[in-house]
Amino acid sequence: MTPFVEAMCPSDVTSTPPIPHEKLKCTNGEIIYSDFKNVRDIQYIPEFVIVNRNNGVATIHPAKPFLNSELIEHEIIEEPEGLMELFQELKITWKNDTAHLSSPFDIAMHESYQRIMGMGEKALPLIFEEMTKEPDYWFWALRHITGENPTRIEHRGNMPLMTEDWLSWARSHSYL
Amino acid sequence: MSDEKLRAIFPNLLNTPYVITSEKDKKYNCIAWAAGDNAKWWWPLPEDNYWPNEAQAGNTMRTFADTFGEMGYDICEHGGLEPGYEKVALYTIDKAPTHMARQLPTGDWTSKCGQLEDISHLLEGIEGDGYGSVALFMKRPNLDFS
Repeated sequence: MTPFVEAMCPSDVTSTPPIPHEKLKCTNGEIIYSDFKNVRDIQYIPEFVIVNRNNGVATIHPAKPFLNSELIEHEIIEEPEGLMELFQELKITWKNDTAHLSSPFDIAMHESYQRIMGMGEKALPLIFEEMTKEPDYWFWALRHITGENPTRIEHRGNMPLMTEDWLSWARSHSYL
Repeated sequence: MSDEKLRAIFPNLLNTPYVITSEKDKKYNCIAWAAGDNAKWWWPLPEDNYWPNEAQAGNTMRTFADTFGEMGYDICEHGGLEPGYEKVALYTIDKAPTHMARQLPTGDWTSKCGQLEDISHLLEGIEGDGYGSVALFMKRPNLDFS
């Protein structure tokens, strides 16, 4: 669909886009999207259309009159469709293989756990989501991925309290 | 399912007596259970775990011996039942601590199997690829003995 064709389509630009305000920046009159994680975030927003997608870059066009239209190019950060599925597979294997273990070294050195750690920051929202459902020994991974340790000294060894320390950290860092 | 899983992890349980004595519980581990604590996860890795003396951090037999020494235990030669004493047994794989069991008044042993259940068992019942073998016995006077 070309910008011209889109411009011919009736489309009302709303004054309040259904996009989280923090994802918008206004620079010299341009409205720029940033930090959206999935192209589906913008596909269904009526005031914009995707003109072209290529190699992770989408050209999006505000659906407003042609003479006032602007082409905006953004790099889309897409979550790999398989990341969540891979995380779940690794998590299940890890839990099953380490349930009888007491040593944190043995628990954290499991191959599946290491592969989750290898996902880096992308694993954080998945781990935190898991922790809201079922506390487990995610602390080693979280410390190494984030470089931080928000657990209170008096909570160490207490899984429910340590979990809540980390979930508080997650909320304050917008992971939850 | 619990019995099936335990026997898969510890094949010796197929040929030695054991009894599951609790529900699964993630709050405490084998070291805590050996020390009489069922509320915390014990391990000499202070960043995430409870250890009574954080200055003794380190995944070594010496660390465990020293810490249980501070709880009144002395190293002893065997795991046989001795009236007036309670004992603990440290399992290792290649000298790295993996598990502790605590002796029951009957002479059998009780273990908290990670996040799984407590079981009462013979020492050899949980030896194998999962926990290795017993490398250290310690004992202390049983204050409740009468």
